[in-house]
Amino acid sequence: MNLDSVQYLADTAAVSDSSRAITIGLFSVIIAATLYITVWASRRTHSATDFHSGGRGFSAVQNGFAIAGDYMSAASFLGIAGMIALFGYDGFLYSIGFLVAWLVALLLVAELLRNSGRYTMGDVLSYRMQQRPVRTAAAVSTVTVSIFYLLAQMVGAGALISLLMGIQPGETYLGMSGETAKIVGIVVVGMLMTIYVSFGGMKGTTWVQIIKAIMLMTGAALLVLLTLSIYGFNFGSLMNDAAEASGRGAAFLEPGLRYGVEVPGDALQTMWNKLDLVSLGMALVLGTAGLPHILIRFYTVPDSMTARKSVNWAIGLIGTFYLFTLVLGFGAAAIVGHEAITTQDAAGNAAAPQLAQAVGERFGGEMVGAILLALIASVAFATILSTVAGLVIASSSSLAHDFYNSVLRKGKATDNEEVRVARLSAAGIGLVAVVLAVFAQGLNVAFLVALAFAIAASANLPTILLSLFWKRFNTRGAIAGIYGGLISAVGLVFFSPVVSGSETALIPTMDFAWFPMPNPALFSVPLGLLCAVVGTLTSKEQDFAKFAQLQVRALSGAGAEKASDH
Amino acid sequence: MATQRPPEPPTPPPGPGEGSPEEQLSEAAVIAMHSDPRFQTLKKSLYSFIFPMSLAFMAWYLLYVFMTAFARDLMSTQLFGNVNLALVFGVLQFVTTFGIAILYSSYSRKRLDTAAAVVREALENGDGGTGK
Repeated sequence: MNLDSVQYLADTAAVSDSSRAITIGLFSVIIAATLYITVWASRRTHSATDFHSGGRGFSAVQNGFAIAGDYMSAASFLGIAGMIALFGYDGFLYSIGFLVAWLVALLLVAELLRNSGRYTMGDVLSYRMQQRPVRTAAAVSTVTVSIFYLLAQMVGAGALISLLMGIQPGETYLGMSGETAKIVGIVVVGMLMTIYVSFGGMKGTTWVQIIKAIMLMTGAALLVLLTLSIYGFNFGSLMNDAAEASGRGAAFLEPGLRYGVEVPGDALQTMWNKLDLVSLGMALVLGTAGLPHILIRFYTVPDSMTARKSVNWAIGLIGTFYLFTLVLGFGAAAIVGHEAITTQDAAGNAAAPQLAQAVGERFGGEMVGAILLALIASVAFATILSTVAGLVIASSSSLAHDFYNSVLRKGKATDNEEVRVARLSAAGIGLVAVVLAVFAQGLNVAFLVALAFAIAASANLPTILLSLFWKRFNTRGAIAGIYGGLISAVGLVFFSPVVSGSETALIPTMDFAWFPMPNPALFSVPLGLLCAVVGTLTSKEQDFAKFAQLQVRALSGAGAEKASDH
Repeated sequence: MATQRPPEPPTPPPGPGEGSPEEQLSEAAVIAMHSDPRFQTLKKSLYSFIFPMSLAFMAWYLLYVFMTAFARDLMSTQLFGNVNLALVFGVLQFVTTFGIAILYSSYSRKRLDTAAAVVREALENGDGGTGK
């Protein structure tokens, strides 16, 4: 096996020209297909309900696939597979948190939100409250979470596209160096996501996500089958080989190589590392049901029962996919090998495409390897596109519906005005995201995904749950909860080692870090909750009649928004 | 449930908006429905499932996370072949997640959907305000 690894190290060091040509061809097919969908959807998008919620006509299966497509970002496909390939068991921790989180969405949020809201997270938060301050807070939080997440995805997209094209440092392809290709990648992704959302609205975005989810599941399943067949479908022997090839032995199959690392002789640091693991676990499990781009997916179905069924579909798809990544990660460790993976990309993001190439070559020589590599690369490309589109529509809907219509126009804007503002917001957000991503592309922004989850867990989820279930909750509580959670999550990360004071920090040259953990949720979630409770109790406002209305509507579905057409 | 203030008719914008069918629901009827036994049954059935179940899966998940952080020796116990407790525990989290989703769906079908429909139809047919 070790000899084979060396062999593949040589083989996979460079991406062949034939593979690049196929990759570019497939990328073009994806772009053409998604643009076609966008044109189709734009002809069917007239009202605000069409734009924000796709007309609420999607079925449970369609929305289940769309949720999965929205949720499984490039970070979870390439990132988790890479993390498992390099650190073994610890990559699996992410998968588990990302999956269990769906129970929060299923049991506590999805149906009640569908019944009581209209287009955005702000609808539910502001139901019982004074509209303008709460909707402003909801819009601020939605845009912050989405921009951070978007920035991480887009910087990643630039790097991934140059990686997927296989441009080595110092080499050029089609006249582009690796650095230019990164910027071109960011700009192309930014333009496409803006077009999908501005023109296609939620209908276009949803179909892009559905197609991506089908491609991702099929591509991953194929790769899993091929990988397992090399090991005679014996997962144990795959694990053995992975552990052996990783050079870490049994430790590769145990927790501790990446998170909660034990530092010999430094009990304090060891404890912080372990608490950081707990903190990450909390952010993952509590963040999902507070992510605005996930929440608005529940509005695209006709009723709350369909919303529940679509979450069940999503749980099935996402769970299966994370089990796939376990095979892909171990497969890459065993077949591609640690050194070849880190040579291509230090964070292991190329592990899954590299595995595709290596497995393909084993089955049918160089050409099959090139085809399989191109296939998986294009799946990754579709993955990036659909997730960023979901983030753009979440923030543009919130800007148009919560901020423009409810705050600026006091709810008097017409449907047409709201849709026009939403389209313009999408273009604005696209532009801002591209500019920020181009400037940030040399920086280490991987922490932004975890930060987005931490904000969603600290600012959004507590206020959503208190709105739905706590009779006494009021305007001041909601505002304090959102801003308190937001500021504590962002603030703690700002003073953590991911921003300054370490070699891998955002600003490695400075050191103002006093908070010891990269993941803030362990502290920021209780802080956000505390702010919400203290804010509520220090204000006399209480409107039990509104609470009664919200509960009756949320639980029974009476008067819930209906599907707009067909 | 005591409604402390009289319902305020103006400013309806929140969730439901103008022009949609829900505007036909009378606010007073919706508020009165909150203390109707039909709604209270629905609420009790829902709460008695979602809250204990949420506490249970969070506790089970946190147990897993804390053991991953603080019980490394135990977690690396080999159960069979090269399969250790950490892997089995992780896969069990998948199994319980799928299981709870299935359980909740069948519970909803049996206990919640009909109860919700009763409340919904009562309100939409205009006999909601009577229950006291």
